[in-house]
Amino acid sequence: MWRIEATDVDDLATGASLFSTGGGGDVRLLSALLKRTLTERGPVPVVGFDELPPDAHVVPVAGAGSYTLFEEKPMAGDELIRAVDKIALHTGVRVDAIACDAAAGVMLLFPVLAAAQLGLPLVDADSARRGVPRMDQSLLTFAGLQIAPLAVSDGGGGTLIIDGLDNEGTERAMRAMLAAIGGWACYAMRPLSVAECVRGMAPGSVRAAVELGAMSRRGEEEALAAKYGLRTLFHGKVTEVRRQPMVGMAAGSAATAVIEHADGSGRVLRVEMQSEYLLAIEDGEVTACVPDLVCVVEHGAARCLPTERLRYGLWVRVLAMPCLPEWRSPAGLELLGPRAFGYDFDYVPLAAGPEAGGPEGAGPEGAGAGEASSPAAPSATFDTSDMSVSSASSAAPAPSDSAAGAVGHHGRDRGDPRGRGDASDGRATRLPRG
Amino acid sequence: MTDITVRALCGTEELAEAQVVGGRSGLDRDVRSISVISTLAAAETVPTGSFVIVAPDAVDGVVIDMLMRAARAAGAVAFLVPDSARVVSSTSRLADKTGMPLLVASVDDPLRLAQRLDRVVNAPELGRAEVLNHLVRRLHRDPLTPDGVLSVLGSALSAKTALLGADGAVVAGDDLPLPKLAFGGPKKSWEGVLRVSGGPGRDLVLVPVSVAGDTQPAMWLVVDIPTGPRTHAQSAEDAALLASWALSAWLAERRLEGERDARERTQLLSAVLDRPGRIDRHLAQRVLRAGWRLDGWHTGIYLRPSEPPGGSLVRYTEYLHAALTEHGISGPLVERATGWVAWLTDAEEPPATTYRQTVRWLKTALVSLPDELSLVVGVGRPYQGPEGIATTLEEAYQASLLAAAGSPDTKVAHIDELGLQRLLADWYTSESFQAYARKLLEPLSTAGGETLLRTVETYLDHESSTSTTAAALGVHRNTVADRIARAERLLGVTLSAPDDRLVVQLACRTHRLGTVERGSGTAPGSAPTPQTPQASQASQAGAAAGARPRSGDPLDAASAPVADGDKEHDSHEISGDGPDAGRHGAKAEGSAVNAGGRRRASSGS
Repeated sequence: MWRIEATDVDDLATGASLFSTGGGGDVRLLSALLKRTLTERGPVPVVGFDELPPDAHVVPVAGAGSYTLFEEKPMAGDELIRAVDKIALHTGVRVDAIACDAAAGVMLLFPVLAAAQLGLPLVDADSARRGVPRMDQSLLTFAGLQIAPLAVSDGGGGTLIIDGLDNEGTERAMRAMLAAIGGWACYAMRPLSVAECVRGMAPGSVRAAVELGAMSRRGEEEALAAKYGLRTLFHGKVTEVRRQPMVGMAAGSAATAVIEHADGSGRVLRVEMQSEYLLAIEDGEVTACVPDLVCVVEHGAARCLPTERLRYGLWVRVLAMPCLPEWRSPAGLELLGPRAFGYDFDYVPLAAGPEAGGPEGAGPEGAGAGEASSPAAPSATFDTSDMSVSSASSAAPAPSDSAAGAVGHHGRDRGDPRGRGDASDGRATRLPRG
Repeated sequence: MTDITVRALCGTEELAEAQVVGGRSGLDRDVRSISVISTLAAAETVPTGSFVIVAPDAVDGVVIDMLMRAARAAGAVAFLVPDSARVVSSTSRLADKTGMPLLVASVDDPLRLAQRLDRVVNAPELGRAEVLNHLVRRLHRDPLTPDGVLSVLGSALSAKTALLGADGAVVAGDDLPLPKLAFGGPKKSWEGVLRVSGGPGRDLVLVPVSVAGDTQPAMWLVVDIPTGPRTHAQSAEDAALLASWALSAWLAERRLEGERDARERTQLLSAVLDRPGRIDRHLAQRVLRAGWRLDGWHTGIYLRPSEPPGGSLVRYTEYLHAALTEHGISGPLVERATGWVAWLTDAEEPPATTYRQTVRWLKTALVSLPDELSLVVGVGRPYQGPEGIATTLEEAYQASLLAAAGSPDTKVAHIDELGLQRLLADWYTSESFQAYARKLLEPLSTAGGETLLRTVETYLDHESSTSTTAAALGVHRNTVADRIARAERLLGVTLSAPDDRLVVQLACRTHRLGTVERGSGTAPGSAPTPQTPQASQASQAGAAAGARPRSGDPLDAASAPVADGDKEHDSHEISGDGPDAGRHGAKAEGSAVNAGGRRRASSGS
């Protein structure tokens, strides 16, 4: 168990922002709220799956809807509490811990806030680890777990229950409802057993967000590359942003941005976005695409720029980060691949670029050293199953090592056939140039 | 397989609206086929040399850059996007980078467009056959006029067409901006079809229109086409050639009509002049058909070239008629052997001052004529009835002779204006005085040629002033004085003596008239009736004699012994009348009489 203090919030928010890939709202307002709550109520304990009693019930909570409206008409304060209470009442179980639905953007800050408000521990796991526009785009769906019944609470004291629908239906009902209840809402999902959590969630998300945020804020590019596979695809100036209305599943607007490389070589990168940054294309060739994470970070900043804030003239870096390996499976790609966003082409795995080449090239040696020095400690797999970077953990700071060890256990406990081996495969495919 | 490039394909009508927004460096690649694609998989498998059209329905689900890259990798040579909103700067950059022409055009039906482009690429002969087929049928069906032919050709080729005169002015059709080079400068061979650039993206197809025997094109047929595939231009050239034959046929028909009418008019006028008093029903009908009026008051006009024309006068008739009509002379115009006659007909006797107006009109009309058609004109007095036509035309003829004999500035002469000159006209034209004049001036011609003779003539016309004469001739005053002194010596006269001066001046006038007469080959005083073949032959022979130096002419020398007897007789008569016959007789005799003999031969026939 570890704790999230008020002083961790900036790192957490920055990491959440990078995981959000431009969607999931601006973390600014909720960070302030969270800082204050943590200061007043003390830190939130964060636990792994193994630290929970086997019969514990975990409720994933989050917010949904328009973040613009959320900022204009902020929370009353009790929305999360009402949602959790309602789902407990509806299902007749005791809620032992709070979990993240998707550890991205404000979606990661809501559960921390809820845990602080309710005085419950937060489970260090989530079901997406990237920004997703829909609730059903979740590892829970991937694992065949239902998210309904779902308790929804608005800012005015109203509460609703969605029950008996499959995940896609629940998502549709939620979308339809949001307009009627003020544009945004908080929700609490069906309480999950620990076994269900192990099946349908990726562990270590909160820890990863804090660490990613801290590294990003300190500008540790090499560490980021080594540990999270985060690399800079491109940096330059936004020379064109074209937005057009889009029809389809995720009704909203699609936008295209063109970024001209700062080196003046005439290279241009085309970025396609909807709620999130989805594709990075150079010379008609996909350099990064959903479900891998694409972030646009304003020059000198650490957080990902929300898609709606991208505009002509900004100097930006375009970053890419590999997604959870689950998303790269056929079933995962069906939920979160390019076609799920209306793009008629097959997923192209993130290639190792020149920027990432150096640190990653050094990776295998580090991995070998790590494994050799602590062969009995599978702790090195803090992020192997989740971030598909196994080796870097040896270079990671000590606190993360211990935490990773704990989580790593759970990775194995849940009987996931993926693990080190799968992660190594992932590496192999990502390093074609050796 | 045809060698059609992307650039050429872009020039076709089908892609007239398309804009090239990138990849211009690839415009000269050959297009082998047309492909319509809607998926990335389709883009990856387009045939090499494809002109790729992205289906409008597909643009929502694809990133155009990716499609374009895939198509380029498969060997596509051009890429058409139906929605400009889908093309961002990265797309055009990629097009530039890969040299893949990127076109943007709104496409309603991509398959239809593909089909049409495919025909351009793979079966251009079909399109060509269609154009020619259409043209032939329409030309056959529609009336044969320049406007009709041009509009048929224009619609067959969807192009602008024009018919130009030989000078490049638009005669019919569209106002096409023509490059100077098409008509200026040394003429190239005008056989066949010319294709010249008509500005950026345009070509002009030029086809000469002429009738067999013409030394240069009478007209030019011009078609304005976009710079497109070679086969496209070929269709336009073939079609234009076909249309030019139709126009040649029309031109030949017009010419034939013109000549037939001219001959008819000439014959009709002869008939009227022959028997003005006996106009029978048949003749009256012909006159009516020609649109002439025999009653009323007629004012005759005689127009004659001031220099013998190079060819037939008939080809100028229409032109002249148009020029005269434009300047108010709206009567009939009839060709004669040595010029044209025209007459104005009024119902009432025109006031005496009307002729001034007529003369003014004629003067302006003459100015408007081209240099190659330089005319002098005589105008007669108004006379009534059919007989009046003959009378006024004769007066006009005389006036025209005097206009020719007078100062070079006098192009139009009215018989009334001539006054005393007319009195003198009889004197000038009398046979005996002409012979005398020639004999009198003989020493001048022999010693100093035309120069001396002209100096004397000009000197006398300018009131014996050496300075005015010098100015008129463009020589120094002393030169004039010297020449005059020389002439006086040669002629044995004193030009300051009134009698001597009168005689010499009269002789000069007569001499000049004689020269003009022989030059034009018509006997003075004879009615301007059509000449018989023999007469014109004889007068031509006379013209030849007149144009050459009198002595040393082999023709003269050869004919001299034959006409010997006559000559002796004539020369005695003439030399007896002359004041200085004794002094110059021996020298002047042969040639003077010789010329006289010929003159008589011509007037006698």
